[in-house]
Amino acid sequence: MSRLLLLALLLGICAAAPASDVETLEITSADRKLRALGYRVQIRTSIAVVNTGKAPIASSSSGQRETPLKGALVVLPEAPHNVTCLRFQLNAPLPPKGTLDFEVVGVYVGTLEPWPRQAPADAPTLALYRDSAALVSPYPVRQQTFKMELGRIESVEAPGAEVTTKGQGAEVRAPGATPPFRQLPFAAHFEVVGLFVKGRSARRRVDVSPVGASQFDEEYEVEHRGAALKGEWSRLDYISRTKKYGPGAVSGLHVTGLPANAANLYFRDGIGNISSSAVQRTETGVRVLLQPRYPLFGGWTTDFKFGCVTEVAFDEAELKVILPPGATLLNVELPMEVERRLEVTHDFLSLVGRTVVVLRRPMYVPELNVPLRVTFKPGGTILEKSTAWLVTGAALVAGASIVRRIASS
Amino acid sequence: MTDASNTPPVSGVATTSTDGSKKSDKRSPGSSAASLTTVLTLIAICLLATAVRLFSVIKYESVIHEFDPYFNYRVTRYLTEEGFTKTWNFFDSFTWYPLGRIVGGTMYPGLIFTAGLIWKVLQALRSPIHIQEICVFMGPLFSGLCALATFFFMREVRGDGAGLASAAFIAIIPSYISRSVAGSYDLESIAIAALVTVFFLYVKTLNTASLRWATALFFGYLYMVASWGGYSFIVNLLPIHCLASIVLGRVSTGLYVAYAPFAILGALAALNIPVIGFNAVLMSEHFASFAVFGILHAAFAIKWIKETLPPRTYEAAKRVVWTVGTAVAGVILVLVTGYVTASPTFGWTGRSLSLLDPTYASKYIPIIASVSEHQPPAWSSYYNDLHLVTLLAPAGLVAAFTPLTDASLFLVLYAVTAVYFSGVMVRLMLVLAPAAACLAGRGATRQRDGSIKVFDDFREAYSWLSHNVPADAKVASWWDYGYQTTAMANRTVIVDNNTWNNTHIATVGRAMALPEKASSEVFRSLDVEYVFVVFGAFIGRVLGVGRGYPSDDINKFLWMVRIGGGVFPDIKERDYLNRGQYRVDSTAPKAMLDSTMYRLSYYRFAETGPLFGMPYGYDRVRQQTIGLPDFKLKHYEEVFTSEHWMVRVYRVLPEPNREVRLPNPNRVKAQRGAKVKPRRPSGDPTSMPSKTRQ
Repeated sequence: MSRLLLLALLLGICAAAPASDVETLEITSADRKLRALGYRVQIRTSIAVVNTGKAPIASSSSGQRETPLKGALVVLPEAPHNVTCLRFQLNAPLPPKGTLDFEVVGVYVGTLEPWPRQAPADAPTLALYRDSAALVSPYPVRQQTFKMELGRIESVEAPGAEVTTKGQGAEVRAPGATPPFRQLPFAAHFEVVGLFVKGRSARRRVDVSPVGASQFDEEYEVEHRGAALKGEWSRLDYISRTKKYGPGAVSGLHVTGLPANAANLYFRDGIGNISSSAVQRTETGVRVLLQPRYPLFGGWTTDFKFGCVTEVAFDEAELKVILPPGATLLNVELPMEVERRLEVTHDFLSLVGRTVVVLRRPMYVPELNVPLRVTFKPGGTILEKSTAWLVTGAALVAGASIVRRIASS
Repeated sequence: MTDASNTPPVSGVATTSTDGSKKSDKRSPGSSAASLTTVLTLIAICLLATAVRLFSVIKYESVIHEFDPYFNYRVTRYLTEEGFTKTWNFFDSFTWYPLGRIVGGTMYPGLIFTAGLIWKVLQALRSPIHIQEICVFMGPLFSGLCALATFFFMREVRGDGAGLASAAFIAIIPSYISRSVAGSYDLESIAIAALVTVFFLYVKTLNTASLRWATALFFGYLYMVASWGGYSFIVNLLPIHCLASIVLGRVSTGLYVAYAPFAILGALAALNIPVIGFNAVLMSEHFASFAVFGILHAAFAIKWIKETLPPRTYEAAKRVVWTVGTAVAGVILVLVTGYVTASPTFGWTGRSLSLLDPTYASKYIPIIASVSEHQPPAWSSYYNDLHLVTLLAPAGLVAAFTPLTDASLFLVLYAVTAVYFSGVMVRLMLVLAPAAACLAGRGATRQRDGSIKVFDDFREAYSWLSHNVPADAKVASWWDYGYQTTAMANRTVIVDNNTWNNTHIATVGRAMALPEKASSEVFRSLDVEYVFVVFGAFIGRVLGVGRGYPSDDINKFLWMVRIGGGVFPDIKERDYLNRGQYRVDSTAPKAMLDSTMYRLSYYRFAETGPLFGMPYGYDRVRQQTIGLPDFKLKHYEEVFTSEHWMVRVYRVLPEPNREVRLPNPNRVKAQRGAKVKPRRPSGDPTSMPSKTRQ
C-alpha cells in the first residue's frame, strides 16, 4: 500500500551543479509545521540556508522571498534508498556567506495509515504517521523544530529526540546539529479529525454548448480509508447512538463554490437517482450536501456522479472540456502541471467532431484547485448548417403528407 | 462563452435540485434551457397520460365499454345526425316505455357536445373519422389535457417542479385511469379535466387579481356545470376557501376578483343548463355560495371603514355594521330557514344529502345505495386506487403549510373535503385523485431544507453490496430479488426470477426455514457468503407509511416453507403454523421462532423501542408483538441494514460466533459412548434428565 514517502530537500544551483556545493551549503534553521487534514497531511517547511564555502554558488546575489522556485524530484546517488530529493532551482546564485530563506509547502497523500488495520464500528478512526524527527537533507542542519497539529494524540514516539505533547499538538526536537541524510524514526498515533476519505478517481466533463451554456458531469469513486470494519455492523446502533457509533463514519460530503445560477443539479449513480442530498441556495452560491446511499465506514467504498467535491484527495483526476461543434481551440491556461491531450468526439446531430481538451493529473489534492481558462473561437456556421438540414427535412416530410392528404380526398 | 450557466442534464433524470423555488428559477440565466426541459417533460407527461389509456384499445379493440357510455354514445350519434337544436330538445321515446325520457333536459350536455364539436371540426378538415372513434378516444385525450391543467394548477400553487410531479401523478393514478381509458365515454372522463381547469383558473385569478382570468374562470365553470353533477363540489369548495381566507385575515383584491364574479355569474351559468335550471338558486347546496358572497362584502366593508375612519370612530362604525349586518343576516336566516324547512330534505337534493350524511342514502334512497360505486370504500381501495400517491400525499399536505399561501390553502381545503367525500362514496375517489396527485407532487418535490423523506432502501442495499462485498461473493435471498441483485448489485445469486429450477429454489426456501446452524451449513455448501432478507416492519414506524411494507419476506415465508417442503421432506408446513394460523408472536411454534428467516428479520428489532404505546417488538405489518424479542446470532453476522431496515444483509460466518456464549471452563466434553452419569438440576430431584442436547 502506501509507503512512507521521505522527501529531502536539495538546493541545486543549476543542471550541472558541482558536487562541492553539497559541502559548502548548510541549513542554519529548519522549522517544520505539520497539519493533518483528514486523509491529507500538509507540511510547511521554513528553511534558512547559508553558503559557508569560499566560492559563490553559481554567481552572485541572494534569492528573493515570495518568488516561487521551480523544483523537480531527483534521486541522488549518495542518498539512502528510501529518500527521494526535491531539487530547487534558485532564481539567482548564492554568494559566499550569503543566506537565503524559503518555504516549501507540501501536501502528502497516503502517508497516514489506519492503525489498527481492523477495528469495530464504534472505534474512533486512528491513524499512524511515520516520518523522521530530523529533517532529512543532503546538507547538515544546525538547528531545527518540528511542530504538528494532529488530533487527539494516543502516543508519539521518537527515540533519540525530545517529544512534548500538548492537547492535540506535539513538538519533536532533534538534539543538536544533524549530519546529512540523518534519519531519526518517529511515529505519531492519533485520532483523525475530518474526513478520512480518499477519492480513487474523479472525472469531470464540461460540455460547452453552442449557445454558451455549459453542462458539468462528474463521476467520483470514494473510499473510506480508515481501519477496515471488523465484526458486526448494526443499523440500530447507528441510528440510536450516531455520535458514538462510527465516530469516523462519513455520512455526507459538502460541495461549496457552485455558482448561484447553477441549475438542474443531479446526484446519481449507476442504478439511478440518489435521493438523499440537500441543496441550499444563497445569494453568492449554491451549497450542496451529498449524502451517499449509505454512510461510509472503514474500508467501505461508493461511487456517484456530481459536482466538485472539495475536502477530498484523489489518486487520479481527469477533466475534459468539450468545446462546441466547429469551435477552434485557442489557448488553455492552467498554472499547474498536468498531462494535456486533445481528443475529438462526435455526438449525434453534429456534422463535425468536437474538440475535447483532456487534462489529467495523478495525485490531485484540493489545494491544487486553481482556475482554468480555456479560450476558443466558436464556429457558428457549421451549427446553422446542420440545424438547417434538419428543419428542411422535417418541413419536406410535413409538406409531402399534407399534399398527399389533400390530393387523396 | 465559458462562463455561462449550466444546462439541464442529458435526460429527464429526477433532479435533486430545489424545486419550487419558482421565482428564483425564473430569473436565473439558465431558465430558457430549464423551461425548454419543462415544456418537453410536460409534453412527455401528456403523451404518457394519453398513451397509457390506449392500452384497452390494444388489448381489445376500439370499442365503447360499460353501460353509461353507451347512452352517451347514442345521444352523440343523434347529435351528429340531427344537429344541435334537435338534440337540445331531444325526447327519447325508445326508453322508459311508455314514459319516454326528455333527454335534452335531463342530461349534462358537455361531453356530448364536445365530442360532436370535435367531430364537426374534423369533418371540416376533411377527416372522415367515425363518431365512435372520437367517443372512444375522448377519455385519453382529456386525460392529457387534465395533466396539463394539473401542471398549471400546481405551478400556481408551488412552482414548476411540483407542477410536473403532480402532472405525472395524475397521468398514472389508477382511479382516474379506470374512469378514462379509451372507450370509457362517460361524463367523468372529461369532467375531471374541467374540474382541475376550474381550480387552476380560480387560483390563477387569486394570484393575479386579473379580470381576464376571472372571465376565463366563468367560462371554465360554465363548461364544468355543463359536464358533470360534480360541479356542486366546486360551488361549495370555493365558498369554503373564501370563508377560510376571510377568517384567516387573507382578504385581498385577488380573492374578491376571483370569488365575487364567480358566485353570481356561476349561478347564472348553472341556471342555463336545463338539467340544473332553477335548482341553482333554490336548492340548499348552492346557498353557501351566496352566503359567503354576502360575508365577503361585509368583510370588505369593515376593511374599508377601518382604512377610512379614525380608530375611535371605527369602533363605533364597526359596531353599527355588526348590528345592522347581524340583523339583516338574521332576517335572511329566518326566511331561508322557513323556506328550507318547508321541504322534507331541508332543501338539499337527495344526492347531496347522501354525501353529507353517509347513512342517508341507505335509509331513504336505496337506488343510490344499491350502486356498488356509491358504497363507502374499503380502506384498501385507497391504496389500490391511488397507489404510490397514498404514501406521498400526507407529506404534501404537511408541506403545503410551508408556506401557507392563498393557493396552497385552497389545495389543503380541496384535499381535506375530497378525502371526506371519497370516504362516503367509492365513486368520489375520482374527485380525490387530482387532489392526491397534487399533494403527492408537492410532497415529492424537494424542499429547500431537503426535509422530504424518500424510501430508497432497495437501491441503498444493492449499492452497498456492489461496492463493499467481494466481487466473486455469492449472495442468497429469496428468488424475488434475484434479478435485481444481479442487475443492481452485480453479484452472483443462487436463485432468481427465472424460477426454472424448483429444487434450487426449494433449497433456498429450506435454508430460510431451517434453524441457524443447519441453514448456515446449507448456505456454506452453496458457497454463499452473504444472505439478505427483506423486512417491512420497521418502516411502519416511520410516520406516514401506515402499516409498513407488507410484501416482505416474513409474509412470503410460508411460501418458502411450502416450496422447500415440496422437495425436502424435513420441512413440514404444519410445524410453522399454530393450528393452521400463521403467527409471529409468542403463540408461534418453535420451528417458526427458530427459523433463519425469523431470526434474520427480527434480529435486534425489539431494541428499537416501543411504538405509540405498543409494546417493545410490535410488528405493525403483522399487527402482533414478536414472540422472540431477544436473541443473538451465532452463525450469521449483520453486515448492513438499509436506512429503514427494508433490506438486512448478513454474512454467513465460516465458523460459529464464539462471543455468543462464553465457554464454560469446567465443562468436560463427553466421549462418544462413554457412560455419563446424568445430572439432575439441583432442587428438583424428580425431573427427568434431559436427553441429547445440541
